[in-house]
Order: sequence, then C-alpha cells, then structure tokens
Amino acid sequence: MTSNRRALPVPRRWSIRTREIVAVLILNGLLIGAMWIRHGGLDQLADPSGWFIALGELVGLYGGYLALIQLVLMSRSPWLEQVVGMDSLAAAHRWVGFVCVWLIVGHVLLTTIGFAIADGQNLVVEAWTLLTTYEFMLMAGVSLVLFIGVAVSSVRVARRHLAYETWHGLHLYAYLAIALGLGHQLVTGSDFAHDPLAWDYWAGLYVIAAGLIVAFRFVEPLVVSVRHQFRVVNVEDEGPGVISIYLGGRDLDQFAIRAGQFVIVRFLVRDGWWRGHPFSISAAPNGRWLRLTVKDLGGDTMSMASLAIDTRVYLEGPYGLLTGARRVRRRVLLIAGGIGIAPLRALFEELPAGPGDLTLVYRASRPTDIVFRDELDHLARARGAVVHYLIGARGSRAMPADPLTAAALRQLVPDLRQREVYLCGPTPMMEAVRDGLRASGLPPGHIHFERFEF
Amino acid sequence: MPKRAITALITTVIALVLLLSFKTPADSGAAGGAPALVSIGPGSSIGPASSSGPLAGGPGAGDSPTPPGTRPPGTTPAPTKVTAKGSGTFTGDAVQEQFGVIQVQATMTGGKLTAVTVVQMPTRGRSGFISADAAPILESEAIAAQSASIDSVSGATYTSEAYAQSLQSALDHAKG
Repeated sequence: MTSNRRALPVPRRWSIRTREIVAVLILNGLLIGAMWIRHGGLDQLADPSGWFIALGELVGLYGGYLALIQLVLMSRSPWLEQVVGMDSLAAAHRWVGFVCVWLIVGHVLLTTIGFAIADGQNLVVEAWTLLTTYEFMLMAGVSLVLFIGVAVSSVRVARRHLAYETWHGLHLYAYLAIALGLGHQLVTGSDFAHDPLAWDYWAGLYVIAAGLIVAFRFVEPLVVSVRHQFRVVNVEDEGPGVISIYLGGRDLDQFAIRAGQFVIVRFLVRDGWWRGHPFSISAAPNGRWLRLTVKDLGGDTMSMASLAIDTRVYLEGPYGLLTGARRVRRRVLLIAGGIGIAPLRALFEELPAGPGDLTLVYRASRPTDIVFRDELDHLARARGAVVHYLIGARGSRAMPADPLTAAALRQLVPDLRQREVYLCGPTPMMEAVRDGLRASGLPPGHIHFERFEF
Repeated sequence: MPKRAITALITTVIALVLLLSFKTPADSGAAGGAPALVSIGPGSSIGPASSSGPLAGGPGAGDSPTPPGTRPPGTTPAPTKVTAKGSGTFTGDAVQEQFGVIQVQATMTGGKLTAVTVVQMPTRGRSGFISADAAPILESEAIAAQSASIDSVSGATYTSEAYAQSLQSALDHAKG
C-alpha cells in the first residue's frame, strides 16, 4: 500500500516566511504614502477643503492598495498559501475586505466634500458634476456601488440569508469593481496624472496582482487538469451521508500532492460544473488514484452519490498545510472530530513512524458516524500504531465529560507534550482542543490544524 | 449554469457596454474638463509694478485681442522680454493643461506689463485649487520679470507652464 510512496513527487515548498511577506506589504504601504507626500499631498492642508481632499486622496490610495492585496490573498498563490494557510488567508481576506471598502467609501465622501467646499456647491450637485464631467468617474461611481454591494452581501447577517452560490456570484463583481476603479485612479487621480513614475509603479502593482490571479487561479489548474485528465473512477458509501469519490487520471504518479492536503474539484457535468468543492484526500497518494471523502452537509453533496463513473473533473490544488512537511517531532498524535478524519486518515497512512510513534484519537457522536474503521484498525496493526475511538454525544451516559480536554487526552496519551499534534474537525472543537493543549504546555508550533469553513 | 446566473451575466454585460459608451464632456467637447469658466485673479490693472526701464517698439495700442487658438500643450516658446509700446489688453492663447484650459490676458500700460488676468482656468479638482493658489503668485512674478519667464510655483508645475505659455502668446500679440 505504501511501498512506492518515496517515488511520488511532493508539492514544491517555498522558503518564504510570513514576516517577509508582511515586510513587503508594509514597505509598499510606506512607499505609497511617501509618493503622496512627494506629490504635494501635505501642501493641500492650507485650507479646509484641502484637508478633505488630501485625506480623501490618502484614503483612496490605501483603499486601492488593499483591493490589490485582496486579489493577491485570493490568488491561491502556492508560495502564499503554503506559508499562511488557506484558512488564515480567507480570514485575512474578510478583514482586509471590510477595511478596504470603508476606505473607498471614505475616499468618495471626503473628496466630494472637499470639492464641494472649494466650489461652494452642495454635495449632491458636486457629486453629480464629478460623475458626469470627469473622465472615468462614472465608472468609478459604479465601482463604488459594486464594492458596497459585495461588502454588504458578506456581512454575517446577509451571509446567513444567502445561498453560498448567490454570495459567491455577487463576490465576483469585486473583480469588476476593481477594473472600473482603475481608470479614475490612473488617469484622473492627481497622484498619477503628473508623475510617470507613480503611474508605472501602480500599473505594475495591478499587473502583478492580476497576473497572480490569472496564473494560479486559471492557468495552473487548467494545465494540471489537462495534463492529468482526472475522472471519477468509483463512488463508495462510507457511512450515513458520507461518500468517497475515487479519481483516476493520466500520470497520477507525477501529480504532486501529500496526505493531509485538499483539492478543489469541479465535476464537469451540465448541472454543476460551475461549483467548486474543497475536498480532502482521505488516503495517502499512491500514484494510481486519489480518494476524496466528503460528508453530506445539506446542499448538493448528496447528489454526488449519483455521480456517473467517468465524469471528467477539473481540479485545483493541492492546497493545505496539514502535512508531514511541518512535522518536527518523531512521535505524532492525530486528533479527529467527525468527518475531520478524512485528511488524518491519509496522514495515519503516510507519516513515517515506528511502532508506538503514531496515535490517532477519533471522536464521534454516534457509532455509525465512525468511518474507515476497518482501514484504521488495519493500518494500526500494520504500523504498530494506536487508535482510540471516543464515541458518544457529550453529556450522555457513554460520554459524561468532554474526552478531548488536555487532562483527558493525557490519560490516553501520557507523552502528549512530546508529540507533534495534528487536529482536524469542527472549528469549535479544534479551537477548544488547541487551547487546552497550549495551556497544558504543548508549544503552539507543534499543534497543527486547518479550518475548513471558509 | 443556473438561469439566474445567465440573466445576471447578460445584464452585467449590457450595463457595462452602456457604461463604457458614456462620454464625459471632456472627451467630446474641445474646451476641456471644466464646464464653467471662471476668471480668477485681479480684474483690473493695478498700479505700476517694478520698473525695468521703458520698453520699446511695436504698434498695437488698443489692439483688439486676437481670437484665442489652442496650442498643443508642452511646447513653451522661448520667453522674450516685453517690447511692446503703448497700452491695452492682449489675450493669450488658450493652453490645454491636464485638467482643463488655461488662458490669460496681459494688461499693458505704457509698454509695461501691469497685470495678468485669468480668462479661464480649471475650476475643479486639485488642479483647480492649485491654479487658484498659483495665479496671484504667477502674476506678481510676471510683473516683476516683465516677461513670461517665470519660475514654476512649486506643486503647480503644469499650471505654471501653461500659464507662462499663454502669457507668452499674449505678449507676442502685444509685440505685434
């Protein structure tokens, strides 16, 4: 089962560090501010209208900068994803997104107020004049409306009332918003109109951000999908509401992926090709097929049980940091909650380990929720590893107390603090276990987890 | 693809085509982006400024100003000393600047440049403020130099250049 593992390629690892990325972002931020000052940003502070306009410019510049950062965050650039993780990127994207839209709104308000004061006009008249007499300004106005729409649709209350696909569809308008805002910035914007250097610099930023999106969201997955010709070769029931989809393809022994990672797949069927599904691989890569295991979370996962054999698959990835690459210690503890078993099942198979080095704790509410039981028992016997099944709803007779507190875990795994820990499960469970382990003295650098709700 | 997505896509494309076909007056008209023409700066000739000697030559007292023609921006002619004799107002060319048109009028009294009046200038945007701030400075510089050979006001390079260019053509008219 694992004999040919060493021959399989693993994804390239980038030696970039978070602090280097942050340094580049801050440096560019300072550069933007410096250019604004060089262009006379501060000279405008002579009168009240100048204050509004100066601040409006500054806020607009940083709003535009954050919009570009947003593109980079969502570009699925491997160097970024491998350093930060898709879950943290998504969290950052959300945060940066709201700040970005607030800055853009601030830019519009401040600039309009400033011009209105200078012209002695009321705000509405001034806004109308700006929109209709300045080149690219109407486009910028539409851009503003789109930005606000995207932000509003992403507020938690709205998200709850919107289908994922509606929200995602609305989110695509952010690309349009950025494109429509480009003209007013580079042509009308006073920081650019008179300075070829600033113009080139900003055009360069746009090209880089757009280039990363095109390269890693479109070209790379297309190349990978065409090269490997992924197809559904088998679909199996694993338990109530849980199915495994087996993907075959060409030269799969050349497809670089590791246990613990996930891919985003699109099944190329008439009714659903537009939908991307992030699925973890649940078996170590073997060069012949990939197994994706998914739980029916309502929605449309269930219709996958009826996926036709031979359905073509468009695949993006692999992504994910929950791999053996981050392991430093010899002894490993895997903690799975519910369907979180999928990536850990693959790690349980792939991670090199001597007898006694590998322990899996698998938590589920009901006995029927346990999947891969035969496989796990078999792997444990073959590898000299240990599996603990912790079954029962919390508070029930079978499970009166939380079995995943640090103290309870130490009962099961006495050398807990000397282990590398991989966690996967519902976010609240992961957070609780992580906090418990940290409090019990396990260094944070040895606790690995990735949220899958993004 | 769901019907709603197709509807949204088509609507978006139509809206986009409409939006891109919108032309600002700046694109279609010749007079630049600023819709209103406002004259800024001192309206009448103020008393004599610095003395740089009597200026000789040229007819053209009471000349009617030549109709302004727009000169391609960025070609500032070499400044020459004012050599016109007599008095009158001379309107310079309208010079296209980044955000609009700048045009000035030179007032000559006894062969001396005594005032520069702004006929038109961008009124809005940062350029508008720069122009409004820069105009009095540029005027006093021109009167001091008795020519269009004036230093750029810092932060208003483009305005200054266009101003100088328009003033130069006004002085050329005065010279005949």
